[in-house]
Amino acid sequence: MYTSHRPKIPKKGVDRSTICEHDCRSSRRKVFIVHENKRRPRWLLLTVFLLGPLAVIAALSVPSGADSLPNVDATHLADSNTHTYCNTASVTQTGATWYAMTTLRDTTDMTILSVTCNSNTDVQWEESNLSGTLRGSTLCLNTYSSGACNRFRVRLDITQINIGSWDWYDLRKTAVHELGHTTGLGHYQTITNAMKSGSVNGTALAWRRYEAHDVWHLNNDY
Amino acid sequence: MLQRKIVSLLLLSVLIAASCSTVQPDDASEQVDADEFVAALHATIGYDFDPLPDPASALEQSDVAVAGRVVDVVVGLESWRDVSAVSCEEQKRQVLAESPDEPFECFNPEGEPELDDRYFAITVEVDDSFDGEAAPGDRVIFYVQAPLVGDIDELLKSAPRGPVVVLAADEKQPPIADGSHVEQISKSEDNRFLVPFPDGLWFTGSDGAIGPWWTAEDLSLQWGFELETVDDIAEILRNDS
Repeated sequence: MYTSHRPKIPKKGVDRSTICEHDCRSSRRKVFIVHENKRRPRWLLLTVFLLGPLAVIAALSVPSGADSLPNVDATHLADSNTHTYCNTASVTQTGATWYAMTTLRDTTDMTILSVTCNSNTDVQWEESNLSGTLRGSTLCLNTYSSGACNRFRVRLDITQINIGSWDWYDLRKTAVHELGHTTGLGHYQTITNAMKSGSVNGTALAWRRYEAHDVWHLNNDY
Repeated sequence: MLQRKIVSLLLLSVLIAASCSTVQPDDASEQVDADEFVAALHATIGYDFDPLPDPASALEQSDVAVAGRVVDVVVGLESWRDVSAVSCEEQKRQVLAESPDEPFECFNPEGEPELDDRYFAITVEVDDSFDGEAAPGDRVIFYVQAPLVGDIDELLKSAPRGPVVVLAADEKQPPIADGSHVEQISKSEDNRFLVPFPDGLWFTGSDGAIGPWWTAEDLSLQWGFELETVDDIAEILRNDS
């Protein structure tokens, strides 16, 4: 579970694999969670030497392909700190997509750039009728050879979003939420924030803002 | 002396490894935890959705609600979109003209049809039915959105087998975008297109109930019960059915 304590801010130039040595509600976060490297004692080297053959044999005995899954630490990540975006012809609510993009720009260190939809556009906005209770969806369409996602398709289901009250706020909240997924953020249900699933229950700005811990991660990961 | 000890340890390592080797299940009754499969879905697909508020409402919103065992997972449906051929040079010109700092790689210069959507068809053998027409012993197919990236055949090797709870709505037909063409690979006999709610799909993982888009902790918080396993969720639904 997520804990309220603040992460230790790394010094500039520190490998980002060392930044998250605390509990970052790791099961649902989509950002890199790797522990700090420490100097290895001599007994550890001896253990590695002795158990190395065991590890090799054990690896060979794993079913083929078990190590070939999509790299879950990379496929969801944006390719750089600049998020390029475009609205496809289906988008009628351009105010909502603009709101989401500018929220990312104004509340984090990331930058945004509106472009004509092309093969490398990071976020491609669409409106669509989604299944069941879905308000919005984010899907990685293809990846770079590095594993980072090249292009996300973000769909908004306006009909589902408009069920109930606070439609203007609901739409913008879902747009900000889905955009959060394109940067690697997972759900966070405990407090009011943009990454909480479901309808807003009022006009509070917190529904349309990333929680401080998520912002910290975005600023450090990009 | 030290060398003999090392050799002995190495031999012991080989013996232990041989006795512990992992075997790919070849029997549908064997359980495969869903952890890897769920992680891959979670990493590449994100949703915002209205959570099922409580067990009674969950059953009311569902067309089918069952507990059972996953017995088969295949790619059930794919839709493709025709695209124009754009040479790598032209792609680079387009991209860098507007966003010169964008990392550039060339994609699909030949203009091959691009995969637009993909669904797994997950077959569940029903043990207990809480809502809908499924009866114990029936096999019901549920469609779950699948990643478009990564090696899908490799991912299917980690597909879960074992206890599951599913709450699903009948979408009647696949939600395929205009301009896409569908390759229907696996179809339910009754022509239903049952899609689980994002918080209505509970596989068995190494630490209990696990869903691609919602945690057991989130469900517990939402429903006000302590729900850790698939059996816990089934029990709560059984009480409300």
